[in-house]
Amino acid sequence: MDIAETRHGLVFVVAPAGRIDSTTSEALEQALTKAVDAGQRRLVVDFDGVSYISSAGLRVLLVIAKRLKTQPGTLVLCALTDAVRQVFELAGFLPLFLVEPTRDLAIARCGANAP
Amino acid sequence: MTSTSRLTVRVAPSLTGIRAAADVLDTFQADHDLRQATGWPVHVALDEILSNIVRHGTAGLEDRFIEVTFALVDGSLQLTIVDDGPELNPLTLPEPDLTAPLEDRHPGGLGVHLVKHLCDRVDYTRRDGRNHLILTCRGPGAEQPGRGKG
Repeated sequence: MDIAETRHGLVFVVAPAGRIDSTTSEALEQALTKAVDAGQRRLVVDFDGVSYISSAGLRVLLVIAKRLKTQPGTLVLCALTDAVRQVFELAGFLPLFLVEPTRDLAIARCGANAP
Repeated sequence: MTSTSRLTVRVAPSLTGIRAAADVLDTFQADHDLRQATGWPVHVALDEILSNIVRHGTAGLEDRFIEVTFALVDGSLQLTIVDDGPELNPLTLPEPDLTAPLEDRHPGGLGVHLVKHLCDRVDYTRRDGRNHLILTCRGPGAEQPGRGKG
């Protein structure tokens, strides 16, 4: 799995590409964990290039969201594809996360929402 | 019109095995023009079931295997997943709490919950010391799963 990382001021954007499943979720977890370990507190995960996500990926999002909540920090998700959105709906995940339609809006919200 | 096309692969109970099975599913969908109709949901379902087996069943045991049969049955994509691990009926697992706040959320049970909703039909049997799980995802013009085959 390819994971692109971009910094926009204080906001750190992680953009995985392809499928997020049991075989790739560890790479995503490592990228996000590394960012938080390095002191990033404003994180955006951009799903634009994600074809689908399974519960292995949902677990990673739960872990990072819980961690950022206690830091505290801000996590914003954006550009959910139809497949990702449907899985989020089935898992009851939408109420748990800040979600924006585009990366720009997510970056703005992450900056504005930061503790 | 009734037609059946079938492909069986045996993979190791590991992440490498899961990846191999997903690749075969990709190919099977492409070969039978099923990608549009059955798409990603069956991929998620396969990943959930196989990773469950790897986690709770045959992980770490020598000479164990998972057998996946991909079949086109009356227009539906049917995946039969057989493993020789301990009895594991995912349909009897408790439903996850989907309304709890973030701090009380756990990933346990989410995978099977997704499978039940992403597939049109899920059947489990324990037979000959093996788990048999059948996932049915309807393709275009398919009959209602469970009908037609008796």
